[in-house]
Amino acid sequence: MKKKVLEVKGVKTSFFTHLGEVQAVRGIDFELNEGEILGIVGESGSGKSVTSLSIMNLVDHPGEIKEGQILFHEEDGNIVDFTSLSSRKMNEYRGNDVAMIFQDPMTSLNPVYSIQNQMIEVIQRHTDLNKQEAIERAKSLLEQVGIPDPEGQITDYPHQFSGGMRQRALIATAISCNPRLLIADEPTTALDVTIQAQILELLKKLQKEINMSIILITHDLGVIAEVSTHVIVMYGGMIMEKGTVHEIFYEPKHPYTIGLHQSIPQSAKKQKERLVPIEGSPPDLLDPPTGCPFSPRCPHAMEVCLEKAAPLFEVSDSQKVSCWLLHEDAPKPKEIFKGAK
Amino acid sequence: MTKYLIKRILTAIFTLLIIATVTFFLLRAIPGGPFTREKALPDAIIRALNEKYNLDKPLFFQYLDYIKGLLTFNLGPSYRILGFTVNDIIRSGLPTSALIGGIASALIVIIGIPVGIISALKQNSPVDYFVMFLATLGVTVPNFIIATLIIYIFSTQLGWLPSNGISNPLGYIGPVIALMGYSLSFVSRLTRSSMLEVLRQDYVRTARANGISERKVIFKHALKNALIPVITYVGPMVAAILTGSFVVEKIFAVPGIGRYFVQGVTNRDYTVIMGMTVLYSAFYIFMILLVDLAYSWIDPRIRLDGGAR
Repeated sequence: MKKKVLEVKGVKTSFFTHLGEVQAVRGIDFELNEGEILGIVGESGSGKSVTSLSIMNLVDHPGEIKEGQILFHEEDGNIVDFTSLSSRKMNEYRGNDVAMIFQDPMTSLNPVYSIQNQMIEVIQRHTDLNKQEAIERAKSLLEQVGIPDPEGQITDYPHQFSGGMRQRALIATAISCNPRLLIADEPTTALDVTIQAQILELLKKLQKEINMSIILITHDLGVIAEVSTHVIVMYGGMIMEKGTVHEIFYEPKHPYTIGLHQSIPQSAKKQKERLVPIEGSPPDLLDPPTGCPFSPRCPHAMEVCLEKAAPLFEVSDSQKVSCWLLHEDAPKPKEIFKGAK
Repeated sequence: MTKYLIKRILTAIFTLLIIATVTFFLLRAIPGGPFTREKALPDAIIRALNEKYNLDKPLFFQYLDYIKGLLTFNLGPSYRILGFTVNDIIRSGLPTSALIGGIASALIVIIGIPVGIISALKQNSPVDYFVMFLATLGVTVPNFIIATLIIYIFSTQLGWLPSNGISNPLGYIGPVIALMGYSLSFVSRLTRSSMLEVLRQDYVRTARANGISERKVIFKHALKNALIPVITYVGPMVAAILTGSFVVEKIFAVPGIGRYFVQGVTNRDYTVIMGMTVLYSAFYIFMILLVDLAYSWIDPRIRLDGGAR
């Protein structure tokens, strides 16, 4: 049996704004095992970024984790609930056991300090290395993430680095203390396509080298297909479907997942084929629908869908789908149950 | 660096010459002159005075004469304060104005920046509201009202402070506070908004995600970035404060140079106006140079000599 790294149980995160409570994450459960790369995919406002910030316990005012547990399994089997830690205690885990990289490498490094300064600050924060040792460590990390001349470039300032190099430096900093879990929030969105591929390769390589688990947040199904072992599809602050990458790409069961697949342009496919957009727009999280959040846009919506959100129906050991169509009494539309009798 | 400094100093001298030139000719374009009175002086006296001060010579000759003096730091005689040269006026008044202004500037930085930081960290708390209320008052209430209130409360009613003069060290308190009011408020507001802006930046979130302590996030990562706009304001502010304030010095009867800015103009005392303008400009240009040097020290993206690293 694989060792667990993270269990997220019933987490709800809301932002208390002037307009009212914005329910960004509305009760999600998942777990992550050692060595897995979990992709979380969803459109803007689906709650994927807030989920990642919640795991780091970094949700800023006026946001707040209202309910649920985030259980982190340490190397020695000790389990801590991040939601119950003080920020001082939590800081000992951040950057050390759990690290995070963000979407925009151009603005994620402090412009007024050198790369070296920012890296050794983190290394010295979590280890007992002295300054010289920390610098050596930082150089070898930069080498590991593919910065061509660490010796010469470590004293550079962020503005002297290109976007791809900055993301590499940020990754180097994030893995500096050999984290058990790395959360990458849209790590390639702000980069051009060739650099994107390099960064994804790098993440895959590092995952093996230091045996960490990765949670990869993205809106790009292509990125997920490239690197993930498991996938969670989020919509309206809830999990719609989760499974292995194979299940999500070849045997999707949720109408939303299927809709996502139909709306991706595929260069290999027949060019003449029209893309099928998902009609409508995402739910208003200030006043989320009582039932399934996707029901207003769902071509198969039934009465029950509008009244009550579906539980997670188990399709296989790994694949779970939150859709009433999976209920035994529900009709079985052909597009969804291709092989089914 | 040395090359840069030499370049900047030469530019500064050139700038000062331009300022002096423009001021010189503008002044002569104003109707009236230093010897114009409500009750006109006899022509013979005016002629004699003009001759004494070379005011009867062609304008361009007067100009060259003035610039020659300026280059040797001789700002010429005052036309209205008899027996005094402009150099005498500056020598007697500037130390007092600069001392009061220096204390005020130091206090503005020492108090304004921390108050702004605290206000930003406690955004939308009673502390923040209180500080911002005071700061808004400070920016909007003119210094003569502040000065008058200080005299009324602390001198007339309570008798704690002398109401005029600086023979007693306590006499500095009133002018310093009156002089600080506006800029202190402005600096704390500026620090607050700049700090709030910086605390929202991605690199602050990165630092937090890397487990950096909150204290270091604020004082190392955020503050250095937040200070850039504050320094931009403080530089010229110091130049303005060090050269004295007519209103504050008048109300507290402080023998500074602030009043000469105004008196010089009403008297058409050409040399005094020129002297004050050049003095203030020189201060101002110097402070801007300091600000630029501070930028390059704080922000590595700003390179003074324009070369690539």
